[in-house]
Amino acid sequence: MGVKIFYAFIALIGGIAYGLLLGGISRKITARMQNRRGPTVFQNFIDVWKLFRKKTAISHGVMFYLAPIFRLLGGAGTFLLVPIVVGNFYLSNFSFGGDLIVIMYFMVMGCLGMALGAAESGHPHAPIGVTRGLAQMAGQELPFIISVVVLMIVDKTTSVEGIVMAQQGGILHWHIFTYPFAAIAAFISLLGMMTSYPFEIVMAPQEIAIGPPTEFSSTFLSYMFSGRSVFAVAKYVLFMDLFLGGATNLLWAFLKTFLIFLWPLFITDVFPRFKLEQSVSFFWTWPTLIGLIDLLRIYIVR
Amino acid sequence: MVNPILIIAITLASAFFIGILQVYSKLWAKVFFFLVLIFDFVAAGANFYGFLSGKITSPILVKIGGFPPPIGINLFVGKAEAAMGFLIFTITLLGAYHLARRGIPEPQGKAMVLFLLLSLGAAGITFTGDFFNLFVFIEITSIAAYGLVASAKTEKSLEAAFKYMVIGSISSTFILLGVVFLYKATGSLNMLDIAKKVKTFPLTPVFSLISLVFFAGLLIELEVFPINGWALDVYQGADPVVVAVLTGAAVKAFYLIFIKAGGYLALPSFFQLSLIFGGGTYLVSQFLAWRQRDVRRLLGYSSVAQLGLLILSAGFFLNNSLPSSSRHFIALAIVLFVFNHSFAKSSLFLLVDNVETREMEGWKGILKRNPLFKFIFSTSVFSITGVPPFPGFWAKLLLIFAIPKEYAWVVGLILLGAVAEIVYYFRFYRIASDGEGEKVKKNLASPLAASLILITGGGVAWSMFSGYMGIMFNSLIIVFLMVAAAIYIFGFSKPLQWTASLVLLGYGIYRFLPSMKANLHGFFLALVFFGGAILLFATYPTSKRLSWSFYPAYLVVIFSLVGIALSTSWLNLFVYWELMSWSSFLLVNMGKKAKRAAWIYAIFSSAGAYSMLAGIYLLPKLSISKIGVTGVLIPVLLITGFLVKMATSPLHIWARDAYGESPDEFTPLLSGIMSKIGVFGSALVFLYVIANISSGPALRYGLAWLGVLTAFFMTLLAVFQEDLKKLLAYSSVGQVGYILLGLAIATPLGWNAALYHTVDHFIFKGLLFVAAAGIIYRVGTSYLPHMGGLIRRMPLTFLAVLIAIISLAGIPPMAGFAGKWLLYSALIEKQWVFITVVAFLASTLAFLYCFKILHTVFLGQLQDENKNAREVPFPIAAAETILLVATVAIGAFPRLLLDPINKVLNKIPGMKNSGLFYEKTLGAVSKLGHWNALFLMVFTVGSFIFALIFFALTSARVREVKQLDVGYAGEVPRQVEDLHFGYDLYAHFRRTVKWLIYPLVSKIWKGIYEWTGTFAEVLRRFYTGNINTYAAYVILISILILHFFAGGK
Repeated sequence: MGVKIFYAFIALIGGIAYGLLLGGISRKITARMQNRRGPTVFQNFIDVWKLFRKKTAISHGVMFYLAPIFRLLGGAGTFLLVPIVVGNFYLSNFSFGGDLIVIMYFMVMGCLGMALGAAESGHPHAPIGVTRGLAQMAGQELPFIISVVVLMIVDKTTSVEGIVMAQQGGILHWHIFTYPFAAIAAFISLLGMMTSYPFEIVMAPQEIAIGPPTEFSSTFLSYMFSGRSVFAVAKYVLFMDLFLGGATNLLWAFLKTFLIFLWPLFITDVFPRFKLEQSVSFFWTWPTLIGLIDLLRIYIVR
Repeated sequence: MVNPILIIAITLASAFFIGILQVYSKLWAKVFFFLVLIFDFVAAGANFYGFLSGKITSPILVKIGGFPPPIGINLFVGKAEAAMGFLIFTITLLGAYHLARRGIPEPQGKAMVLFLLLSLGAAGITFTGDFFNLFVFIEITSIAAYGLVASAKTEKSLEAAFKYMVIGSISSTFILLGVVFLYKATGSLNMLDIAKKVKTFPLTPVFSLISLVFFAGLLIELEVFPINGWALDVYQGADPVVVAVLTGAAVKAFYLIFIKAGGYLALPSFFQLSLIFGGGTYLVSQFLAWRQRDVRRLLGYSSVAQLGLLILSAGFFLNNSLPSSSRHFIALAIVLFVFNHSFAKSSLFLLVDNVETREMEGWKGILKRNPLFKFIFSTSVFSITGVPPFPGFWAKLLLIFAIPKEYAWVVGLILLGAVAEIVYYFRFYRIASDGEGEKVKKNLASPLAASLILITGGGVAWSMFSGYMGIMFNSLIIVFLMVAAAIYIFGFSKPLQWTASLVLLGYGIYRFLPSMKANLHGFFLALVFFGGAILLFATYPTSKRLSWSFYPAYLVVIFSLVGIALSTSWLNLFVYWELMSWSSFLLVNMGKKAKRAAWIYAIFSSAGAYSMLAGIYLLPKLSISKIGVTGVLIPVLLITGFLVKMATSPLHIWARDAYGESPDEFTPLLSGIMSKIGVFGSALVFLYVIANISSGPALRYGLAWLGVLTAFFMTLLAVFQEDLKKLLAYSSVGQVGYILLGLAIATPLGWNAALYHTVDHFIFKGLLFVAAAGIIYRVGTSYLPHMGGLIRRMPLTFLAVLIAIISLAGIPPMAGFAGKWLLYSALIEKQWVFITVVAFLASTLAFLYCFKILHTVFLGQLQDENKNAREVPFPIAAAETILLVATVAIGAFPRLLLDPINKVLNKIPGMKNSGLFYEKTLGAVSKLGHWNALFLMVFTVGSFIFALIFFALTSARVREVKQLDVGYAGEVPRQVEDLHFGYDLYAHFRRTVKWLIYPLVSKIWKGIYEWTGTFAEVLRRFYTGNINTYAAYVILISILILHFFAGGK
């Protein structure tokens, strides 16, 4: 167990670093697409470090104080529950802790802690952002659930390892090819999870001044930043495990997660923002209908 | 034994003597009047007692004028006649006493004479053994009644008296004609003689026609639909005291002769006649009263309906094809009905006499400041509508179970009418208990006496019932119920009541500990007892403002729940179920704004209970576990009753307001325990009924959809609630929907999920409702936008609510997650794909309201008016802490709960292999996946503490700032600005899902209510109020009777 914790810690550091790097890359790509030079890809490391080194911070109360910790815990916990390389002792982290259902509910913890801290700040924009986020979540969850249910039922398992194992034996066994509609639904849902445009509704800098984290500063923000980064990586890894057949080694893992990372990024950079009503309606129609195709398929075939 | 002729002779003689006496002294006339009535009462009572105690064994036969029957007239007093005589004189005496205290209408002498003549006539009808003599007494009664009705001397009463007279003459004519024809046909007028002759006599069509003429006359007097317009006008127009005596005594005498003649004359079509006219009158009148706003007319409809039910019962009683045991039960039911209706309705009419206005609105809040009035009113209304433990309830039960299965539709009709009865009576009750009305005149002695008789009668009926039906009531529970009642009667101070209740509950736990075995019954018993004790404990701090009857009613609820959990027969379960429903109705009704909610609750729970009763009636065997049922009707009827308590959609519309408006101290029990007893009942239905029928899988699938749609829609509605308790109400109902889903899956894993969630939902929702009670107590409102920022004032409550919410949302590592995990595993194993998706989505939606609770109550800005709020009082905090510890402990060690559940499931065939095993690293393992609760708890808490320490060490110097020290719109807001975002948090989301939250179900229910009312209005036009049409109806209907029922022409 001690070994496990040690490797998990290493993986976590790696995860955070990878997440921050991906964030930097996305900033760079976005800048280039807007014909700017953009910051260096390591800008996020610099930002986190800078925030971390701040001398003072303000707090609005207990939950506010705890929010960054919840955020980091939620992100890191999710990351550690998802196996990066299935079957590999060092890279499957704490995946024995629970199956996909556990992961799906654990993912909420960080958001909840964050939301509570933001709400305690007393800044009206913070809860507005939170409620938007929650409503959006209700929107994006539907297509995601549909595709996850499809996978769990066809693979007759709820564990992530089981789903990865079911995809072995060649690229065409990946769920993205065997259940393409479910995969499309999930990947559209991913756009919502990553709050990429047009679903960038929670932060909405122009409208509610980045909403929930608006009152957070210095060390608080650096923790939240790290938490957010590793949470993003956790979602990429999860999607890799669910739809791209998992990874057999670390290199594949990097490659596949990078591919998944690119998808919301490209969408982000070319779209304006939805209103929440439009966002939820969108999620509850198109990706849901697409996902339903596969759900119907297994319902009939089964 | 007192010779009945004495009663008649003395009363008759005195009637004339009073007329003379009162010329000389009004006072002495009055004294004499009462002396006569008291003599009658004592004499009739002595005879009745003689029969009851067995001192008089054979019927009393009195020959008048020395001629033996059949030539001479005789009196015949058997057990039934003696009982009826006693009833008549009791009611008359009560009425006379009431009249004397209020003031006998002028001219007093005449009124007293008429009063005596009325009671004499009724007694004569009861006692006589001769048909012609009967006619004479009917005439005496009628003429006295016309006079008394007219004595109020209002326009309405005079009109009513006139109508009564016209129709009464028609009826008398028919009766007289019948008697004449009878004499012609049989050569005799003596009842027993004719009965003897009829037995040997060929039942010719002519003879049938003859007796039909007689019965047609009687049916007019018995106010059957549609020839009862005159009667309703009498009820409405006459002096209420006169009406009380008429409906309580005179009409009952007519009813007795109806049964007797039915038996003597052996009319072949008697059964059909009584079925059609009795059943029709009953059902139609119950619905006609639906919208009635005039109190007297409403009671009139109710009287007519009860008479209809009696006529119906008479038909069954005299039906020779029924087994004699059934007829015996029906006879008992008839006695109880007559007794119950006479006393309850008379006391209601006597109450009416104390209230000036006729309109129901005039009764608004009348119960509040008149405790005695309230007692009498409630007793009477409960007894008429058939609430246990009053006689009306036992009578209905006896009647229903005595009706043979081929007349199941009659049972349906009776129950349908009973629901309508509850709708209008409890609307009346709701208006009377709503707000604060005026004090009434204190003329309540006689209705009080009637009510006390009713309650005693309820006890007698119960002992009779439990003896006859061979139902083994758990005597221990009865003792506990009685002690609960004693807490009310002795009226201790409320903290003392609280202590006494806790002690009683503790003793109950001690006594019932052996029954808490590892089976379904024991499981729910433990939940009721321990859960109930925790919730009861938390009621203390606010107990001062509670009603006197809060704790007794609370205890009755708990011990009825115990009774339900221990029931071994369905009938037994039903009785406790009704007791639980009605005592909880009283508790809900104690809420300040809860009157409407309580009314709807009463309607839904009784409709549900009657549906259950119909199901139980249709069962071949009453034992809970051994019922060989096929067909889908019985399980549906049975489970509907339970689903009402679980507030499963579309039967949920009572829940929001009943939860939201009931006293804060009671709501935790309503949500935490009472909804779970619905789960218990449903589990029984799933286990013993649905599992054994061929259409079981389809039914289960349907119920699963019902459960998941309840979860989805109630969660969605909770998101948009602005009232803390109503939000929690919807949440509670939604969560119970998950439990139903778990039960419907019917695999070991599904039942694991359902039972786990049953307990767990009690823990977190009990915690939330208890905390809500504390918060509302401190801030004085349950309106969410008026709260906010309370985290600084109530840190412990915040922590408790936070953990409960995490559990509710199903976020690991708290206890709630296990329920979710089990449920989804079961669903995926079952491969119900669409249901799984909806269930997942519903639980995602729950996050929305979870955040809403935490944010609007505890976070954001503290409102000025709550600046001085303190932490919740100690007992509430203690209850919170207990439940909090339970949530965390079960979160870390779910086997604390899962192992007992497994033991329970091992007892159930087909559930033996629980589908779960435990492994060291993977934790709980199902066929599909795994989850390690302890690891998750340690991991979460450990990482949290680690991160916290790390953060505390590395973070910058943290400065606490004030609430409004935020950078809002580029400037620091001024102190007065309200920046709390607490109202309509999900306005944006509501616009998206507008089409999903359209209140379709409540509109449908409302529509049913309105349409029924409209239909009743249309039907009511039948009563034109015009005597010509009434007379025409009477003649027409009589002809139709003669045409159709004359047995083979």
